[in-house]
Amino acid sequence: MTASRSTGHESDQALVTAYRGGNEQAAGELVQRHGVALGRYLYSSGAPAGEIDDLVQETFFRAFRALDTWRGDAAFRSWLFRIGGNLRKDLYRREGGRQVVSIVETDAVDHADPEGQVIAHDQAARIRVGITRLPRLQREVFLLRVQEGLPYDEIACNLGTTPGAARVHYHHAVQRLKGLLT
Amino acid sequence: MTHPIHLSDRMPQVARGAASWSPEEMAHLTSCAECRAEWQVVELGATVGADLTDRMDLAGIAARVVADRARRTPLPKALSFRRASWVVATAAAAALLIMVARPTSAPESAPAVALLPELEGMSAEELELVFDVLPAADGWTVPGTNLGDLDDGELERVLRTLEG
Repeated sequence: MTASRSTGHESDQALVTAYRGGNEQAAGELVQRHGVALGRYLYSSGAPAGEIDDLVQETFFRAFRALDTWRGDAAFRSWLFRIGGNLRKDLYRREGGRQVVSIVETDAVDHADPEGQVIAHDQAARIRVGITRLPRLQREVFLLRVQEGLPYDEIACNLGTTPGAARVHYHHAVQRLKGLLT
Repeated sequence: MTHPIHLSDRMPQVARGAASWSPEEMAHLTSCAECRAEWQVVELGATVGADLTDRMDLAGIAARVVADRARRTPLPKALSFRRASWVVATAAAAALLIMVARPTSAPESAPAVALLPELEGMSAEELELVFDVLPAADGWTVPGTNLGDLDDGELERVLRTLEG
């Protein structure tokens, strides 16, 4: 797995080094670079849309306070996902295990094809709820695969499993989710 | 119907717009209900939360993250403002006690300062700061000038002397 994610400008590693050296703008750049992906990951894992900004912010707070524990052997984004995932789990526990997944948070219905849009809206909502109810590893493998486009070996590295096991988790996740659409 | 193995592996890339289906793959998806269902799951899964891009206040989050760092940057010598204020206040109290309690014609062995329990919780570095601002008192014999050089026993004796 690559230790940093370069998007045509400074790598994550370079930004972290700059941040450690006192360059505060490097922190802002890392937020801009990974904030949305982190928000989508948390939202797809069941966090309410109204709490995404707070969760993302708290994740970055914790990440920057614990920056010395990031050794650069995993992608910075994956490390953030781990911190954010733990934060969401803590929140879920504090709420007594209740998880309310709204199904009206997707885009408004397209009036040009209202029937088709209602069906698409319904299916998207089912998939989102279905993802939140997957076992943790299945959910994380599925999201890293379809939203981040990571290959199995990188997913395995991120989640501390093997590429073969990651493939199996992905297969089971897809099978479960397919069942929600029939 | 046989399912092309690579089709499943390519689905995430196509769903994210990083690749597209070939005509043969498209034909298979049209005719195979099982692969079509899998494609639908992947396609929908890839779009969950896609609209967050417009709804998140990334600039605000970035500003607060930077501000959090500024709040947490330690002062030189790792002495926080609150701790430093406490040290100065304790030193001032100690100085006041010494001036009030110092006897006008005390024997050399008499204690020069009243009990000051706040001193017990201080580190050697903080005690040094206190001593730096204390007025010189007659009859004090502090072994050495640098408290950081003292061992625990010596430091204890200094404290006992101070507390009487």
